[in-house]
Amino acid sequence: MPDDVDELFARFRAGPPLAVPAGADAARRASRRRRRSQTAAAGVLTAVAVGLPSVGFAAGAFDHPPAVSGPPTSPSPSTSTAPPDQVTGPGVDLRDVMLRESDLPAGYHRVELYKISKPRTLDKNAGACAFPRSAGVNPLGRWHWDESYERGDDEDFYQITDKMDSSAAAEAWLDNLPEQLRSHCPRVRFTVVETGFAGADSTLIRVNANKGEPNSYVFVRQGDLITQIWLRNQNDAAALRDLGRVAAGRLCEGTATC
Amino acid sequence: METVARVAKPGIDAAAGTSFDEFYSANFHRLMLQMYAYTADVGAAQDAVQEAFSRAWARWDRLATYDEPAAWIRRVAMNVANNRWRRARAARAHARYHREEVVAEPSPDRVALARALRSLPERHRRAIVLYHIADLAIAEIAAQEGVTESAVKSWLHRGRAALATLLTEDEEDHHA
Repeated sequence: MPDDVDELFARFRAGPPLAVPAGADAARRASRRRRRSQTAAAGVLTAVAVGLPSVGFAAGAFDHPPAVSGPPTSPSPSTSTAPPDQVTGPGVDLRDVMLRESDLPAGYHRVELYKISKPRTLDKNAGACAFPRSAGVNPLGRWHWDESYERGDDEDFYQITDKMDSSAAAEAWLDNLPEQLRSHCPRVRFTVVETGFAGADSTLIRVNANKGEPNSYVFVRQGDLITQIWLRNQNDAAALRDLGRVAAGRLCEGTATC
Repeated sequence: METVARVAKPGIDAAAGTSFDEFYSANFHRLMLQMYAYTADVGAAQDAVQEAFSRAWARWDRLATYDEPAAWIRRVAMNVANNRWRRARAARAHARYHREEVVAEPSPDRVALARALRSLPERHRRAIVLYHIADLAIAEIAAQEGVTESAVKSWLHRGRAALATLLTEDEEDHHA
């Protein structure tokens, strides 16, 4: 044992490399592989979650096409492989009607969906609700597109836009939403904070969960398009209203009714 | 907890404006050495470091703005090395990417020190690796571990004393 411990450590540090690095590219590939397997696992869970209720609800509330993540222009490393018919309904590419990064408060940047927290959508708060077979709190769009952003460690933004079969169907769904919540969700505290502040129809709903902070969701309709917006930890009605108005303007680019 | 001013070590940690590849090249061997001292196992160290880099890449936009992204990577690598399940997962994830080139086995001095470190209590070993191998100041270790500087000094003192005993016994056994 050398008397000088520092000298011992100096010798330890000074030796030759212990291994040939696998390389930064190998780290990237491993990261991509993990992300793909996580996405696949999430897909299986989603299929189970959607499939089981649909047995009970027949062709009911949760029969969404599989969710797809951000557009191919996303700066994140993986690219979407969603077939075009999942995002391009007749006459509109839903990617064109989403909020842009420049529409959001400064500092938000687009990320993969798995990076942002929950509950991103209103229906995630409605697990305890007893909806009838044909109802629910998900728009039943035949096409949809979602995008997710984050700012710092604890600020998330999520938007999902559905294209319904018709303007009438979209209007009926949004009109009926508060009543659905009142009638079928006695154990969850939903509050309709405001309506009619943006687009053809709009609704701001706040949910007070048993634990944790309240969550607010903005729904805006233009024609047959309905978009839902969620900002984590944001319950300021004025800020959410403003965002809803910007979203309404974007939706106009995908419908002839504006 | 005391706030410690962190100053990026030139050419090592500073990552703002640095590509991930450059950062990897500049830090891999240094982190390997730290993790070898921590685990006494070259393969486990390599898996843990590579796993930490692969996690870093997924959030590189943010990490690159940190004063010391290498500190984040070291912390992740230590967490991987400390958890049997994560360790096995990292080994599976990175086995296919290991390079074929043969590298000389660590020298007997290195092996002896790493083994002696391995037998220290976790906190003492961590403090010694951070202080003597990663070259962190006592205040930095205290901030990272969420303890007082006195606690770090105590861990270092006890760790060094235990190391001296262990290595002396090892040397005596060798000569016997």
